[in-house]
This record gives sequence, C-alpha cells and structure tokens, in this order.
Amino acid sequence: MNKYVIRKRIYIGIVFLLMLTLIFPPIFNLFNKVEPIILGLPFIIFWIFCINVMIAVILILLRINDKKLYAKEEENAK
Amino acid sequence: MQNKSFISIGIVIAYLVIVNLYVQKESKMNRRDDLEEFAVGGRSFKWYKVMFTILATWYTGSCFTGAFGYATSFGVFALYDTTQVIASLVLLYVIGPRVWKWGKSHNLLNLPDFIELRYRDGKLSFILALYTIFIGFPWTVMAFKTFGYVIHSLTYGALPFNLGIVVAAIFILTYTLRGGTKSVVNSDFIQGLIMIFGSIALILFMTHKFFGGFTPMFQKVYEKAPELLTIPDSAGWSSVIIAGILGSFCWMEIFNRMFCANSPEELTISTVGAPILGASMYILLLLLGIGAALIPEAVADPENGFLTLANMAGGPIILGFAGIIILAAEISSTDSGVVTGGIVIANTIIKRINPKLSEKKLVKVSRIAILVEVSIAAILSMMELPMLMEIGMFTFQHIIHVFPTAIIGVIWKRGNKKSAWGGIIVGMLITVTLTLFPEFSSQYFGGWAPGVVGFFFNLMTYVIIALFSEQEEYVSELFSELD
Repeated sequence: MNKYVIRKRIYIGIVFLLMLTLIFPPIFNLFNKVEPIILGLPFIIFWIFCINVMIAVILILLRINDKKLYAKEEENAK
Repeated sequence: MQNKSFISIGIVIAYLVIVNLYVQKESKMNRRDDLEEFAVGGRSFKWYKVMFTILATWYTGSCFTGAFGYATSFGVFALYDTTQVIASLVLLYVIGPRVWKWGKSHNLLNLPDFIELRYRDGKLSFILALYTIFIGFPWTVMAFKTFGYVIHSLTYGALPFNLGIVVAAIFILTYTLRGGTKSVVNSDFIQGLIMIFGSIALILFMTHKFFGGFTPMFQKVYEKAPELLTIPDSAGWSSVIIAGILGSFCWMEIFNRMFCANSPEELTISTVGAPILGASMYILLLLLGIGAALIPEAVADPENGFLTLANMAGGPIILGFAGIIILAAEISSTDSGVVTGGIVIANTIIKRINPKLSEKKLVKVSRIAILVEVSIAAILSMMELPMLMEIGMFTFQHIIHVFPTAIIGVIWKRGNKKSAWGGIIVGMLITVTLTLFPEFSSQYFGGWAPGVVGFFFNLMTYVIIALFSEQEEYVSELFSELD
C-alpha cells in the first residue's frame, strides 16, 4: 500500500483516539478533573483545548499528505 | 427612547444596511432562473467563502445567548459543542470531496438528491426531506425569537420584541429571494468574518476588563464555584458530543455547503482552516461564559449575559458591537436554513408531486417556499412557546438517525435501501420508546440519551441488513466515478 495512504489512515486513527479521550466515559473520567492546573487553565479545559489544537494540526498534515498522495496517483496514471 | 438606545440601534441599522449592500452587489445572478445557481451558487465559490459559510452556518446566535448562559450556569459542560464541531470538520474532510464529485457529475443540489442517487429510492428521499425540514424548523423559530430579543435588549427595551423579528425577516428576505444560496454564501462570508474576528476581539477585551485575563478568572472561579470546572455526568456529556458529530452533516443547510465549492480542493482547504478560527472563537466565548458566573448581573439573566457584560464593559457602543456579532451569527445561520429548506421543498417535495415543473418554475416555487417559511417562523416566534427549547434539543436526538443512510452511504458501498429503511425504522422506534419511558431508559442505558441508544441500533440494523444483501451494481459504478 502507498505510504501516503497508510499515513492518512494513521492520522485519522489518531483523531479517533483523541476523540475517545473525550467521549468514552471510562477514559474521559481520567481527564475530567481540575488539577493539575496548566497554563492557568483547569486540567479538563486544558485538555479540551489541546484536543482542538491537535486535531486542527492533524487536518493540516492530512491536507499536505493528500496533496502528495494525489500527485503520486497522477504520476502513476501517466 | 434614551440617547444610549439611539447609539446602539444606530450601529445595528448601519451594519444591516452595509451588509445588505455588499450582498446585493456580490450576488447578482448570471442567469436569473437557473436552479443550480440559485441552489448551490453555481458551484463557484473559493475556499475562503466556503470556510466562512460553513463557520457562519454552524455557529448560530444562540452560541452567544443560550450556550453562553449554559456555561455561566453549568460551567465546563458547555464546551461539548467545541469538541463536536472540530470532529465534524474531520468528517467533512473525509466525505466532502466524494459528495462534491457526485454533486458535480449528477447535478445534486442537496441531501435528498444525494439519497435518491445513492439508494435509487424516491420515497426515502422524499420522507427524509420532509423529516429534516420538520425537525429543523423549531431552530428557525428560535432564531427569530433571538432577533427580537437582541433588538429589544439593544434598545434598552425601547423597541418592542416583535419589531426586531419583523426587521430581521425583511432583512433576510431582501437578499435570499433574489440570489438564493449565492446571496447566502456572500452574506455568510461577510457576517462570518465579523462574527469570528469581532467576537474574539470583544471577548479578549471583556475578559481583560472584568478579570485581568483568563488565569486570574479561573483562580476566582476555582475559589468560588469549583463545581463549574468539572463534568458531573460523563455519559450525558458523551451523548451530546456523539449526537452533535453524527447529526452535523444531516442538517440540510450544512450538507448543501459541500456543493458550493468550485472544486474538491477548495473544499478541503476550507476544512483545514475552519477549526483554528472556529475553535478559537467558541472556546474563548464559553470560557468567558464560565467566568460570567462571578458577575451577579450576568448570573441574574445568564442567556443575556454576553450583552450584559458588553453593556457593563463599554456602554451603548460596545453593546451595539456585541449586538452586531449576535445578529451576524444568527442571520448567517437562518438564511442558510430557510434557503435550503425552500429549495428542497421545491426540488424534492413539489417536484415529486408535479414532475413536469420546469427549472424556471422550480426557482419560482423555491422563492415562494422561502417567503412562506420566513413568514410562518416569524409569526410563530411572536407567540409564547414555552417548550420550544426542549423541542429544539429533542431534534438533535432525531437528526442523527439520518447519519447511517446519508453519511455511511457516502463511504461504504454495501449499504442499500433496505438497510436504510430498516435502520431508520428500528432506530426511531427505540428512540421514541425510550423517550416515552425514561425510567426504563435510565435503568438499562444509564445516562445515555435515547437518541444515541436508538442510533446504535439504527447503525447495527443498517450494517447487518447490508452485509446480508447482495451488493448493487450501480453503487459500484457510483463509487468507481470517484477514482
């Protein structure tokens, strides 16, 4: 399998795992607390903020990866 | 009327006039009665317009009223929405290019068109069109109530609630009747810019003014109301996030945005940019909402908290600015809803009854449907409807039943019309039963919402029936078009 396809699946898998920390209650309970306070934010808020930033970054990586994937596919088609 | 009401209402009137002039200028139809141009703007928009129309449609005025007040009353629980939006954007990244390609090659205009193409079942498409219009309508009524509420607050009570509703209805009709989705995307672009950047600036200003920044604000919240900083019901929290993610693209006005880009490339670029802007705005807004729990004036009327803080921070000028932000958010969501509703009423419902209607007549019927929708919503919003918010929240549990048919159908070849019907019927029956018998629901499914439980059975039914059916040839051909 093309390495860009594998990378795309890994990125989407990471998003899924990150989301699990917020929507799967037994895991979510590990993050659902005030302390430690990080950057002045209660831990749960800090974690929600982190998830948003990480997913935004992953979307950028996905886009870069897809550009390379499409270029490779076009090259192969030629 | 007091002088200060003149200032804030003057700011809002100036804003409405400027936005209207911009939208009218940008939204001239090249072909006046072209359904594709009226329904999807001729599939002509660049990424930045698509990005802002997605954000502007997604974030409604109720983010600044209901959600802000919810954060003040219930704390960090309100942040569920930030998480569901960003996860939904990942979903958009995955399905968007596929939907766009099918849309372009089969001239699809909205979700029911896609359902008909994917399942070759006009009845399924017709029923889902009626269903999504029906469950989306309470939100349109609530939007008009928000207009009335904002105008009333901005004028310090001088202008009546109902006048605000009439002004908003006329404003929306002036451009939507003329330019359809083309005018909606242009309106959303300018109003999305104002909503995102204006609100970030205002939130940072107010947080600094009242608390000296977010860190001191949270120190005070931790001392005085620590219960606001954790989530007591994690199953309930999970339910609302799951329902939000699954339901996101089942709302027709959101699904329609995928057809407006001028290429799949533009659509994916817009998806990459949206989370940074959207999450920044919404997280900051809700954090300020939590901090507002320290201010008695905001606690007294939490849903009006954003406007109350704005007034306290800078009088009528800042209040007018806050009012513009709320109006921008609400108008840009409502116009999308009424236009997509009008087009689906014409193109899916009326056309099914009278298939001989020409494209020109369908555009005319869409315009009439938009006018009727806006008028009914405006009139209903002037009445006392105490259960409206509950009905609105209830719709979230029902829209997710469209997910397997609509979204799994985009990514999985095996789904067919039997699995779609089976999933919807089983899921809906379970949701309705658990809603009617809440004690039974909580005994067997804990804090999980009935809609989410029903959705689980809907999905299972869809998958099982699909796996036990033969794969259909035309679906393979459809998927091969994507290569």
